[in-house]
Amino acid sequence: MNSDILKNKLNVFVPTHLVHSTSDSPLVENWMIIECIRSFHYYLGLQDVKFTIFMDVSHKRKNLQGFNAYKTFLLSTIEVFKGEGINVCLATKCGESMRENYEIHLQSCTTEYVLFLEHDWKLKKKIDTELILDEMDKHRNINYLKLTNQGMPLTQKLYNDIGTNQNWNWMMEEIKSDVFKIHLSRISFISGNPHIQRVEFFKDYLVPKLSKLIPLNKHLKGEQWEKDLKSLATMYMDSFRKCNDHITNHQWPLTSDGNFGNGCIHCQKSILAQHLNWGVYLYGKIGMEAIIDHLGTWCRKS
Amino acid sequence: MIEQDINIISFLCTGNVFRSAFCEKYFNFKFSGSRYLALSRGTNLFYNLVDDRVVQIAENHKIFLKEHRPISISEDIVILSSKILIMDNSHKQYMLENYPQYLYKVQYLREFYDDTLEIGDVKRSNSKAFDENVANTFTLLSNSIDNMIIE
Repeated sequence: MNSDILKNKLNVFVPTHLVHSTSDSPLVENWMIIECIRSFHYYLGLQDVKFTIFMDVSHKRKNLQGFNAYKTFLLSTIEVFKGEGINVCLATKCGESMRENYEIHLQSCTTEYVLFLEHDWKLKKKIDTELILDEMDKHRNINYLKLTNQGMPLTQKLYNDIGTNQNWNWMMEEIKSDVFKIHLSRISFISGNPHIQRVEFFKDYLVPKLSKLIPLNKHLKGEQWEKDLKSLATMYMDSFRKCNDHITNHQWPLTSDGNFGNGCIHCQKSILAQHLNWGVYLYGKIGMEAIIDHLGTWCRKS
Repeated sequence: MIEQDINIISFLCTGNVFRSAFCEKYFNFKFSGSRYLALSRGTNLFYNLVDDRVVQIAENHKIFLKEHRPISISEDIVILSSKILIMDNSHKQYMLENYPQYLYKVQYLREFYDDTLEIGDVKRSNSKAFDENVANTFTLLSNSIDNMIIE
C-alpha cells in the first residue's frame, strides 16, 4: 500500500506509564516500549504511520522525579526512532488513565482506523496490514480486530470451553465461510490487547455510551478501560434477554459440558447478538500460533 | 456452537431506524424463548438515531428503540441469516444487486399478513399525520410478525 494512503488510514495509540518490578525504583529506561514500537512498525509494514505515545499523568503526582525522567527518556527514544524512519511523537495533552488518554486521542483522530497498542506488547511475525484494512473497508461490520497472545485452541472441544465464567470471552467461534479473506473468529468482548479498531464505531457509539454508563470521574484508574466496556457489553446483552437474571449470575458454564450449545437460550442469543451488533472479532483460527507476546508480565503498575 | 444452534432472521429496511428496528425488537420480544434471533440492518443509513417520536410511539407497543444503533447490512449477516425479511421493493433491488446468490432467502414481511407486498417508509416531519402513519406502520409490522409461525 502506498505510504501516504496507509498513513491517512491508520494511526497508532500507545499508552504508557512508569513501571516497577516490585517496590523498587521505576524502570525509567523502558526497553519494552522500544521493542513494542519497533516490532509493530516492522512486522506490520507501517512505513510513515504515526505512533502517538500518551503518558499516564497520574504518575506525576505519585513520583514527579520518576515521571520527568521517564518523559526525558521517551523524548530521546523518539529521536532514535526518527533516525530509524519510525514516525513517533509524544502527545502534548495527556490524561490520568488509559481510558482518558484514549478518549483524548480519539477526539483528534483523523484516520479511519486506530491500532491500540499498550507499551508492553511485541509482534512476532509479519502480518498483511493492507489486506486487513482492505477487509475492514469492505466489511464494515468489523469494528474491532484483536491480535491474539494465546495460541488458538487446537481442538473444537477446547474452543467451545472458552464459554466459561473464568474466560474473558464468552464466545469464540471460527468463521468457516470464505466471505473474509483473512482468518477470523467471533468473540464477545473488547480488551486492551493490541487490536485494530474502527474509529467511527468507538468515537460515535461506544465512548458516548460509556460516558453515560460510567463517566470518567467514576472510572477506576488503572487497567479498567476494558472492564468498563465489558460492563457496557453485558448491559447490552441483558437488554436482549428475558430470563430475568444478570448473565454473570448464571451458573457457569451455561451447560454441564462446558458448551454454550445446549445452554440457556436467552443467554446464547444475547451473546451472539452482542457479537454481531458490535462487530468484535479475533484475527485467527483454530490451530494458529500466538502472534504477539506480552512483555510486561513481570512488572506492576506503580 | 452458538452460531449453529441459533436461527437468525434479519429484518431489512433502508435506514434501520424505523421499520426493521421495530421488527427486530418486536420479534425478539415475541419469540424470546425460541431458538430464533432477530437482527435488523439497513441498506442505506442516513440517521444515527431513532427519531424521538418514533421512540415514544414504539413504547406504546412496549418496544424500546432509544438505544438502537443503525447498522448496514453485511455479507456475513446475509450468510448467517436463514431469512431476510424486507419491507419494500427497493430492498429486493438492493439484494439483487449486491447479493444475488442469496436472493432465495429474501421475502417480503407483509406476505405474512396479506397479499400486498410493501410496507412503506414514513418520512420524518412534525405533523400529526406522521404520528398516525408511524402508529399504523407499527401495527402492520406487528400484525405481520404475529402471523409468523416458527418451529
